[in-house]
Order: sequence, then C-alpha cells, then structure tokens
Amino acid sequence: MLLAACGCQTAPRVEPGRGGLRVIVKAEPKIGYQPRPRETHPMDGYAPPTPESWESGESAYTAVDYSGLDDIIVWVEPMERDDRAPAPGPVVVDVGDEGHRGHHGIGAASVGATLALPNASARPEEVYFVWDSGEVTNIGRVRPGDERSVKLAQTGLMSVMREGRKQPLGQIYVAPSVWVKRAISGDPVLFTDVRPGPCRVFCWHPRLPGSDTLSLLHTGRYTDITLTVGVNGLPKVP
Amino acid sequence: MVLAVVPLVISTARLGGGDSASDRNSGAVSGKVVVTASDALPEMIVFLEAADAEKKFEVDASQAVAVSQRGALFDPSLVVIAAGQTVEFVNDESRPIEHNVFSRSPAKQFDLGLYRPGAKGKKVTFEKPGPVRIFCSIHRYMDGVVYVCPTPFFAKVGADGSYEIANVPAGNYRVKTWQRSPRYSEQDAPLAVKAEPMTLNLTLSRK
Repeated sequence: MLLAACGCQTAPRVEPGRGGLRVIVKAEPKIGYQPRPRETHPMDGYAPPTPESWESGESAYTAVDYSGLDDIIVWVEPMERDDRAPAPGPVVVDVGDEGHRGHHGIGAASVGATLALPNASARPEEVYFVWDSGEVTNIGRVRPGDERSVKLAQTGLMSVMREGRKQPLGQIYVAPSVWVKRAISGDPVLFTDVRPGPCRVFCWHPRLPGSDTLSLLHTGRYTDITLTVGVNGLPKVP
Repeated sequence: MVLAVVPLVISTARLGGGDSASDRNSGAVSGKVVVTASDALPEMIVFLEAADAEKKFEVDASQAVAVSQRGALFDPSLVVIAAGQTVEFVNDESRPIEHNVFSRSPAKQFDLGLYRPGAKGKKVTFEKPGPVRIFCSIHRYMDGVVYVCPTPFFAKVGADGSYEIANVPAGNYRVKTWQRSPRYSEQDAPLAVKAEPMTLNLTLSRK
C-alpha cells in the first residue's frame, strides 16, 4: 500500500521505536486566479530573471509557480520531550562562492546547528547576518582558505550578507526543531525518526502565509499530513 | 535588536527667511545622516515617537497615499505613513494584468483580492506602527514595504543623507531610525523639540 501511495520508489523505513511523518505542502493560488500555463510570452513566464531581463522590465512579471513552489520549510515539533532527538545537522555556506547571481533558495537548519562559513575564493570577505527581526550580527572577515563557524542561536529567517553587496549570499530558515527540511509544493517530505505521540507540524514560506496543524504519530508507521501555503486565509479587504 | 545610542549632534538655529513652522508652538527637525563606513547610505527613515505613549496627534486620514503597481512594481516601493493613514493600491498597468496585494506582517495582515487595471483602487488603513511587507501573490518579485510611524513626524532620508521633519509640536519625543536593509545600529534617543527649527545630525555605526 505504501508502494502504491508513493509511486515506484520505496519510502525509507520508519526508525525502530519511532514515528514517521509524510508531509505534502500544497501551494494554493488566490481563489479565482487562473495561473497561466508555462508558455512562451516573455512577460508572463516563470523563468528566473537575468540581468538583461531585469533591465528590460520583463522579469518583473515572473509569475509565482504554484505547481512547483520552492523555498518551503517544513518542521515538526513534538509536544513531549524527546531524549532520542538527533543533534542538529551542520550547515555550510561558502562565502567566496562567486557562482551566485541572485536568489538561490532558502536552506533549512535547526536552532543550535553549527553554520560553517568557508571561503573558497581568493578574496577576503566581510560577512554579516541579517535576521528577519532586523537584528544584525557581524561575523567579520573570512580570509581566503579560512573558515568561520557560528552556532545558530535564534530562530527565523537569516540572510548571510557580504559587505558591499545588496543581495544575500544565502538565506537560511532556522527552525526551533531538529526535524526540519526544505520542501517543494506537491512533493512529499519524509521524517522517519520523530518521537511517537502528539506533535505540531509547520510549514513556512518567505512570501506566502504558511500553516500548521496538530498530528499524532504512531510507532513504526507513517502519518500523512497535508499543509497549505497561500493567501486565502488572510483577512479580506472589500 | 541591540540599539546603540550614538551621541547626537544637536544645534538650534533660526533659518533665514523666517520661521518654517506653520504653528507658533511648532518646530522643525532637520539634519544629515552619515555612516561611519565607506558604504552608501541605506534606504531609511527618521521618525519621532512621543515620549508620552498616551499622547495622540491628529492625522489627515482623508488623504490616501497612492501606490502604483505598473510594471509589476510597487511605486513607491517604500511607503512611509503615520498610524491611522490610508494607502490606496492602484492597478495602473497598461495591459490587462491582475494583481493581488497582500501582507502577512504582524502590524497588518490583509488580502486585497484580484483586480485589474481600470478597477477602483483598493484602500487599506494602517493603525499599528511598524513595518508592513507587501507582496503580490501572482508576481514572484513584486514586493514593497509600508512603514507605519507612530506619529505624523517622519521623513525619508535623501541619497545625500539629508532629511527634514516640519511642523513638529514642541514637546518630548524619541528620535528613531529604520533601515530597509539593516546594516547599522538603529538610532533611538530622547529629543526635546522646541518651537523653533533645530538641526539634528545622526551618525550610524556598525555594531
């Protein structure tokens, strides 16, 4: 049954003595809006912008892709203390990476995780963080070949910035849970080692309102959850 | 956020050509914002908050501030208003493009619904101070900010760092700053405004 539900791939087993969660996030466009099919009109497309398309004004019309919305962060918060919770996984952002041209997605991390900031370029970089609260954390200079490590001590969206550049080098959503993953709308996200019992499941997106729900996880099997991102729950202005 | 109180340079000076305040009991606060680093000045505002939180000021709620959505861009992309004021979001696209303006910011959550050019502009009144990030649910890169100041006494800082806040009733305030892309410590300091023009220069420094 699990094979049929998942398609041709077998889902990983739930860890012994643990609960599993399969989360699908649905991105819902505004009720009444008809998303355009992926088509060729340059002013209504889904393609990421280039410097040239920004210059011409075409990129401003790039549409939100509700069929494959990315940058969604999903996390699980068990209601009861979990002595078997894994340690937060490390995160890496290369501050010397010159391959970036703009927004490159949002990474997921847990509060308490270590963020490594290597500099693989030949140029020193002055690095600082900007949190969605407005708080700024100065990291200082990272020399070529060097690496700084920082513990992520607060939750929320954090932008890794380099001095003199307007665009963030990378962004990380720091969740208050070790069970946190990135998601794309419609694609299941699996957690295999969560404490059985009641929990709350959240999804977040940098632009669209997210949602959360209560769930009950059972030992040895998956529980299916569907969450939504979208504006339809916001207060309407007549 | 940790706030740094940088010593303010204050001087009172009578401007040439007569009093710029329209009310005998009002002053004006103007000056320059400078940064210690060699970077460009961030897009930012200077505003006053009454020292007495209970003190209220009259706000012209009849006049809405218009925001264009032409080219799938909010213009202005940073709107600064006083609490109690209204913003009208106008769909003035040159072709039949829908927009759906919304915000999920704690200071104001709203969804204006879908509307096309030619439809009446949609109005939102903002009551709570703070930043309100606005987006379009259709266009991925369309975003802006409505910053709601606690009083009608505010100014956007010019590219050269200059600002001017006119017609400020004499009294005790706190002078504050807000940067759209935070880099420097925000200012937050007491300010006594007298019924005459005053110069207040602000220096922003990194934490």
